[in-house]
Amino acid sequence: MATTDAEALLVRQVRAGDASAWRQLIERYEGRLLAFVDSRLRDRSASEDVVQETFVGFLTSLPHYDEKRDIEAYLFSIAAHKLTDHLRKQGRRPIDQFGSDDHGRPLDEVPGDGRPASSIARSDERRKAEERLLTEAIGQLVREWLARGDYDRLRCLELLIVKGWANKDVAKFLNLTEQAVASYKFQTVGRLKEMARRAGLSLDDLGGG
Amino acid sequence: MGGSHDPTINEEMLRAYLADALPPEALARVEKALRDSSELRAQLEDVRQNRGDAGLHTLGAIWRRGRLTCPSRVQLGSYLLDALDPDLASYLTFHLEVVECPFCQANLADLKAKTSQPSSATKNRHNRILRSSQHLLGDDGRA
Repeated sequence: MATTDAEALLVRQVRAGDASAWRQLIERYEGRLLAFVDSRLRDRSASEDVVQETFVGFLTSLPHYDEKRDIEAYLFSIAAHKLTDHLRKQGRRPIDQFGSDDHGRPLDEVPGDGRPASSIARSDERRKAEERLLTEAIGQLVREWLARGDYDRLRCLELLIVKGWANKDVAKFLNLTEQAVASYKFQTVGRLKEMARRAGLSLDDLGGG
Repeated sequence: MGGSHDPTINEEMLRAYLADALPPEALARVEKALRDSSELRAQLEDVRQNRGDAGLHTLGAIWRRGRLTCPSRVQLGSYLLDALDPDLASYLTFHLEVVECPFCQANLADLKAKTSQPSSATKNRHNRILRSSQHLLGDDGRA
């Protein structure tokens, strides 16, 4: 999902201190954020507090926000972070997921620890380049499948990749043969590797079967 | 605090857990299993440090982050009105109910609420957010 020109303009207006644009942004996104947070907390009052903190967090992090990034995804990632903080305070998170120095920033903006800054910067650059390439490559495949109405393939790959289901479970659920599932996976991985190769990157650890 | 845990909790679920992208029931199941199993906590730490099985699992995180199969808000609105092509509508049902995309579920719930909720309650919430955040509004350097 990409940011539209209208959304980018709205963010620029907010950056310039336009109170009316800020109200518009709140009106546009508050409902979906509240639904997201409340689906996890099942506590309307606490959910409203988390959403309020999300908008405050958005303004605080605005200097770091890249306008090319989808604003809804950015707001959801801040909300997820605030939600985790809330759950942690309630003792519902047994493991500290994000460290203690994230300042409510989304996970992908929080650097790791234990390595020199230059090493982090280099690996971070490479990771981001790979992620950009893979996002574009999978996006292209998804658009192709949608355009030709190949929903079986789309469902199959979404279950394998996003849900992490085993081939046999996907085959059973979609009423396909295991061979068909393996073939969809093999073809998709092959195309992704080819796209990566053309872009000068290696994706050998993707496997293929 | 034993070692064995719910066998249906796979690495991809742990990645989704770390990204806060699990549906509520699965979230509760993972939280309970993490409390009960030191082995699963170690596995979660591996996933967090990206030490686990990379490859396809990394693709899953990228797919989720890029929201590569999420419909647009307009498409979700048409879905609610039953005005989509049946094949696409059937796929959206799969995306919402089987993949359990929490962001699309939230958008759909919001669209449904907008048709039924009294607007004064919504306005009150918006005003409360405005009051709590307006002092942060300013030029880029101050925001």
